[in-house]
Amino acid sequence: MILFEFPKILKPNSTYELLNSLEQAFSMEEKLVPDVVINLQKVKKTSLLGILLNYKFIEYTYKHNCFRKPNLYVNPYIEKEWERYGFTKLIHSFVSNKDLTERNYKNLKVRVDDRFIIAPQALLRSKDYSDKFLKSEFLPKIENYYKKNDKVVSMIFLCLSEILLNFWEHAVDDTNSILVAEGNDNHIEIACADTGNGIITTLNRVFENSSINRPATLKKAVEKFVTSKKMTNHMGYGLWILNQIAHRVKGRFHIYSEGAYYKNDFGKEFAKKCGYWKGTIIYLSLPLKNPVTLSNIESHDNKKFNDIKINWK
Amino acid sequence: MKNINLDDFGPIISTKESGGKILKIITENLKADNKVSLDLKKIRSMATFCAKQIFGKLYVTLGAEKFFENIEVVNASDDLKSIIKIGIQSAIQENVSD
Repeated sequence: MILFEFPKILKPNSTYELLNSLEQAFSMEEKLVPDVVINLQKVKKTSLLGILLNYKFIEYTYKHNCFRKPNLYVNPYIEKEWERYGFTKLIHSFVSNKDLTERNYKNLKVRVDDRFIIAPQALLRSKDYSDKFLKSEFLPKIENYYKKNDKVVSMIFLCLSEILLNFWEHAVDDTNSILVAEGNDNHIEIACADTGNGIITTLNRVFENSSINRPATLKKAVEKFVTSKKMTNHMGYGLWILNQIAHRVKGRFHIYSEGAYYKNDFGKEFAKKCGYWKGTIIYLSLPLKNPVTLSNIESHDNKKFNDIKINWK
Repeated sequence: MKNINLDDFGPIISTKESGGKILKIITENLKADNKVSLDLKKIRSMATFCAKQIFGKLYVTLGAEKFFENIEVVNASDDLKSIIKIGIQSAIQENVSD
């Protein structure tokens, strides 16, 4: 029997442990390995990121025929959490081997009450579904929830702009990414994960020194002007902006990709090896007490922009 | 002068497709009217990629003088001003290709 066991706690701090326990699955694509158990029965605490990775793991292994009739063991707590984040129908569609249609993704709904907002958003590339729902459901509800603080909305939307662009442009071979945001008056978390080409693969193609190790590649990825697509409209600002914002508000910014991770936890940076995840995971956690936006980081009045004259009205 | 409001693209511009559509609208109106006024009132944010795709491309194509004379930008927040300048600066430093 091959066991994929989810740890007791699925919080951002335990992602390292989680990825170590799941990495073997990514070498089983199209192998239909028999006698596999995916065990979530021990999970007692979870989080936005934990549930997202739980979903993406199940989606990947089912879609890529990694296992033959795997046994999925869950407990009432994890079922409740799937429901809370809106993933129940998506996961059941895989487990029951039904065709996964866009209908299931459209069941993802933004939930708002006085104390919190949970906002999942499928990033499908077919038709104009994602853009339409993003503009009609996802963004307006976040904007409304945080309407008392304009600067908070600007900070969140700046982060979402860069995350969405990055996932849409880089994860072209994974058409089912899901972005999830969860927040309250004091704090917001945003997570997005795909199982397409990871940051390390795409960036190592352009580094002259291709022997650069994986954690070092991720550390470089958050530097300004580092991009896998030079001489295009990509300019290597997106991850840098996210990291700068996390740094300045004393939040957290994590990237996991292909056996390495980069973490900025409250201003302290780490880049190390971890279990393999095909694709990229991005996690952002921002306190909202002192929001920061791009004009705080790079003001348009900065001397370096002096030569660029724009007719602002 | 042709007034163009980008309300339909708000509140964030975060896809290559949206950037491409906006660039096309501006370019076509510049051809027809010579001058355009872009209203960004409903735009809360924009990916830096899209700023380069739209404003960087226009700046490099028109040149600094014509860009200033023929395009006015209305209701841009300080954040958008920064994003737009970052996009233009990057386009100036490279030859933009798609």
